[in-house]
Amino acid sequence: MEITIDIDNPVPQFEQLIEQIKAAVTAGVLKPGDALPSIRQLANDLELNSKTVAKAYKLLERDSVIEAKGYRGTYVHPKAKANCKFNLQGWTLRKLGETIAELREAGVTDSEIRNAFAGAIGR
Amino acid sequence: MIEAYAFLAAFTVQILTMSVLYPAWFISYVRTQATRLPAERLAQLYPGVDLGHAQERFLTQYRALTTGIAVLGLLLLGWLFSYMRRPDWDDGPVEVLVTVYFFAAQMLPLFLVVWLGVRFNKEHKRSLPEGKRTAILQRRGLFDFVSPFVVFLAVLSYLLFAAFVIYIQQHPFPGFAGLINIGVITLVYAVNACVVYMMLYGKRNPLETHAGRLHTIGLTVKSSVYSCIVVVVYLSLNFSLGMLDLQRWEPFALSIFLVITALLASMGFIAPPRKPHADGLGSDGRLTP
Repeated sequence: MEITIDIDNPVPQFEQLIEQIKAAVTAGVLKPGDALPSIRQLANDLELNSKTVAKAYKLLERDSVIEAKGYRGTYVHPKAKANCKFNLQGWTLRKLGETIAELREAGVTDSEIRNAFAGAIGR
Repeated sequence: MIEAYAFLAAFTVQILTMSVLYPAWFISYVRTQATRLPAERLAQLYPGVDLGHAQERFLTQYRALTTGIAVLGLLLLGWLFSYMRRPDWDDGPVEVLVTVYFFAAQMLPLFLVVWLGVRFNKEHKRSLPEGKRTAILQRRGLFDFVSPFVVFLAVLSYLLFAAFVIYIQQHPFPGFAGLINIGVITLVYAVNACVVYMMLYGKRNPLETHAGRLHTIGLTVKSSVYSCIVVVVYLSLNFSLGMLDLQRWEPFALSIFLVITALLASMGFIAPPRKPHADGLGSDGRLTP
């Protein structure tokens, strides 16, 4: 499976990588248990910083699309296909929406919510 | 006297292989590779230069240099022939030094070519426009290119060699360097391990296709692992000759060893073009199980 990173694309490189790996899993090109290249190998092949590839792998691992097995390397997660369908952004928006609605009900103003959110995220 | 004639025959093989056959293989390799380079990019990089003419001029200079070295080899062969008729020809390291220095001279054109190749690739890389970068999402590992048995053999050779050196250390023969030999062989293994690592995970040559790259990695990895084994075998053989008081065979063994090592190191030029599926690579250049 070929991965293409467009340097001129405004989408961050690690996101391009994540999107393409998820697309390959969804399409069945990458199957559960398939071995993925090491961070160093992929970074050198794509001429990217290894931190960029490491970030992409870390986020994919968090989403349970891939799993790291120590020195044996990184593999596609057994439930990768189902986990790819999970919309993390939508879920985050829904959770935040619920919290904001609760705060509004309690009489907190939008500017107070924004300030509190900025303070909380910067913690 | 048979040892002297065996050495002279081996030295002749060294001249023919390294200064006649090897340059012919290399010239054919360069011509094939040149047809694969992107013509438009070369025209951008070297405007107004007739690249075909420049290539032929380079190959003519290369051929002249290797021919000169072959002539030098033949002169040395003539001198060695008269020198080895003396009964005391094996008193000093003359023939060993001649073999080693002449081999270094034979390798000189190759080093020049490698240096030019590295410069050429760097220049090309700098001229590559930023844009889309592609990679195949497939893990590369050592055992994709060389069988575990050969790697096991290389490791076993190292351990046996260390044991052999420790054994000889207890009953040394004149000229035996002792445990330094283990250090030397460790260095050889370390250098080859670095080469293998750089090939597997290092930066790619922007002019190379994925299939071409896998082919190059395969050849380099194989030649590195085989070189380790050959070096151990040669040194063990050399020590055995010393122990058995057969030092007169050492120049012969050295000459043969140098030719084998050089041929292993240059497998990339000698190996025929890759056939799809023949070396475990698909037509798209991917590794196939």
